[in-house]
Amino acid sequence: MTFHQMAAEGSAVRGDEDRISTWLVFQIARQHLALPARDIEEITAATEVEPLPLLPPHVPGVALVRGRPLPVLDIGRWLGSDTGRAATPGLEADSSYFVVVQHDQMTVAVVASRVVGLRPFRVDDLAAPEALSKRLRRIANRQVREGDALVALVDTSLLLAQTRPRHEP
Amino acid sequence: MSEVSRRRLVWLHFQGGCLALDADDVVAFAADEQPGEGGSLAARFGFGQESMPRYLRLRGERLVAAHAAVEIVELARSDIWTLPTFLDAAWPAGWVRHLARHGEGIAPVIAPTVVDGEPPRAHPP
Repeated sequence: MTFHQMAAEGSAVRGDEDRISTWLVFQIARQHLALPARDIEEITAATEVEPLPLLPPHVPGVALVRGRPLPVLDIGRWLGSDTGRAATPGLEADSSYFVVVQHDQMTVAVVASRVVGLRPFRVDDLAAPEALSKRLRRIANRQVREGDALVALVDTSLLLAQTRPRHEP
Repeated sequence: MSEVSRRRLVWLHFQGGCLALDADDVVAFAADEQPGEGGSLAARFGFGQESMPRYLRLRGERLVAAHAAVEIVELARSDIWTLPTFLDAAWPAGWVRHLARHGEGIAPVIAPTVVDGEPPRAHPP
């Protein structure tokens, strides 16, 4: 079952597709983030990252995922978090997974420490991102409580626009 | 992301990474020429200098220093990819044509025009 099918099923079970949206919740260090399930292609174990020249630190290079080179996006570095020493070459110590995101003809491998799982959130429970850091609000325009965790709901378009490498002439 | 045709490449091993050039874009190798306006590929791409300079005369009478171990490789179609869309603005327009895999490494396949004009500023570490 694909993530798209799982997302659809999550909505259909509740019979209220307009009021529920399904997200993939994951962690980068202690920060909980979520991306729309419809934009998730797959989750894989993190593999070695091959560095490419002149890229910003939050894009440490490309990784081969199913035989194709995907740009690796380290949101933790972009946010400025310090997650320790590198274990996988090119990645931080607790970078265990790639969440492969596909949106607007772009595919990237987002580094995650832990994948929590798919979560259907009631649209009414999604709040303005008032408790998120200023930098996080550049990519997340909603927040939601899940247990003790505050989850930042990332807008995929904002994420790709804000983190896409652009050379400086 | 589609594959492109099989081709021969000049693979440059720098300290900290690799670059590749289409073999048809490299007119000649030289060991004792002076660098032209193109200067150094290592400096342009922020690499360390792996070795004494070798000079590459590129298509369009461009002379550039490589400071790299040089290898001629022929790659299968499956080892050459178009540039991922997310990265297509990461370098000046036209500098990087493809990505290629050789051995353990992946390198940008660069165009001779990389030696023209001012190099981009490297991102801070």
